[in-house]
Amino acid sequence: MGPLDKDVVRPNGLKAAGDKLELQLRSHWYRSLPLSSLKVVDIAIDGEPVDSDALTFSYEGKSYAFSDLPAQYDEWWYITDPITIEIPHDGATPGSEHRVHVDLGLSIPYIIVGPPQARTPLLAASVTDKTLVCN
Amino acid sequence: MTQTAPNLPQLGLTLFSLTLEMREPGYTLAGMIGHAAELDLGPGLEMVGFQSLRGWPHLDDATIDHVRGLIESNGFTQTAMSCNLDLARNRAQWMDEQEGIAYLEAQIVTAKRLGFPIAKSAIITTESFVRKLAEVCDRHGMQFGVELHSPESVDSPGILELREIFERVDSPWLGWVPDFSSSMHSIPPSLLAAHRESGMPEELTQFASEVWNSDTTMPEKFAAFAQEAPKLGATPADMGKLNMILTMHGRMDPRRWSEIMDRVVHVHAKFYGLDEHGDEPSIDHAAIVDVLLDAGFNGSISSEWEGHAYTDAVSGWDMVRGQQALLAKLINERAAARVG
Repeated sequence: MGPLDKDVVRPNGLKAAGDKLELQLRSHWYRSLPLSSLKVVDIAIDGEPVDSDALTFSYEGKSYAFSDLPAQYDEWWYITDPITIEIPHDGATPGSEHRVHVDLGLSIPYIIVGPPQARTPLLAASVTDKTLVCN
Repeated sequence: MTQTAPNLPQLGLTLFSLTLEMREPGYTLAGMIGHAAELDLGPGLEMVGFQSLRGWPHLDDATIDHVRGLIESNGFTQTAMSCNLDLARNRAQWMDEQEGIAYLEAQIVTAKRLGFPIAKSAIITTESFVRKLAEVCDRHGMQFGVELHSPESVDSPGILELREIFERVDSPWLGWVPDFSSSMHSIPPSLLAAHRESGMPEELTQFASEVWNSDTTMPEKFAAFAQEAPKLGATPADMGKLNMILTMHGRMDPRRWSEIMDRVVHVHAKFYGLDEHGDEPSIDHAAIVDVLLDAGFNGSISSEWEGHAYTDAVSGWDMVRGQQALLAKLINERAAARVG
């Protein structure tokens, strides 16, 4: 519900690239976080959920599967940078319109919450639901 | 610059106040510090390493010289560098104490290279960790502050434990950074408005407000809210959002800051809005200024606008300027009254 939630997907953040869509994802957190903080990335295109394991995350010239991300705790996602997420999608063309739903959950590594026997990093959630026109 | 006399608390800002402005097209650190200077938002300057500096804390000499030059050539004085102890950055295996110390030491060293005399962060509350941290600070000649932040108060269990450890370790390098958010008398109107705009049912916001206002401890408030809110129809998502009311805003009497003032190294003037008279509607700034003056505090106070978590309808620049005017007026008037 905060202003940075509105920034997670910008109006020009979707691109048609052959058999896939490329989504530019931005952080709703105020500081840089390691890529391992990307704990929940649930995406639906036009109402169809996409398996997280089918996504490819690209940042600073390197690409990762969703399952690779927990080990990337030395790779820092700088606050002004988007991460590019490749989403398999047949038939996407420039100018086509798509409803993009993103449930983003960032594991905040320095805010530990919960009772003493069940301490866990804060999961900072952000929900985006926007209709975008592909570049 | 917004000046106070040298024997009084010194004003300044943390660039965290400008979190939204950092997302604007064309943002650069140089432009931001330059504009802060044009608006006279010093003399103190604080920043969050992981926010303002790409690659933090592993910065080469050229970057150090550049950033230090930006701060000093614009007439600012480095106050505190805000660091983070990312204990769970490896979700599968959290840092142990030794790794935590090394993680903070790297940041303390970079803060010093940038000219900051104080680093601050949360820490692990054990005597062994605090003793190691004191050794690191002593080795580098750096002060280190632990924030006393909402929802904690001077007598919450973790804080009491750390107060006792600080007494036993008794290091001149370690101390507290109390945050105005620990001592609020009401929930910020800007937050209530944000809930309303997001479609939160009014009765849920009202219930959360009632729990917040009750004379109970924070753990009791969390428990009461968790138990009762679902009965009013709150979903888990609603609960998460409304929990912010409890976590981000403490309700401690500001006079209780006096219990820790002998170890305060820096102050965070968190705030969430200014009314038409230039007053903060949810934090008694005059009461806090009195505590600082009573203690003879002449360290730095960073204006820390956090209303950006709730609204982008106002400018962080205007808000910092407004709060500094309020603080300067209160500090100067109340200090003069004491002399008179």
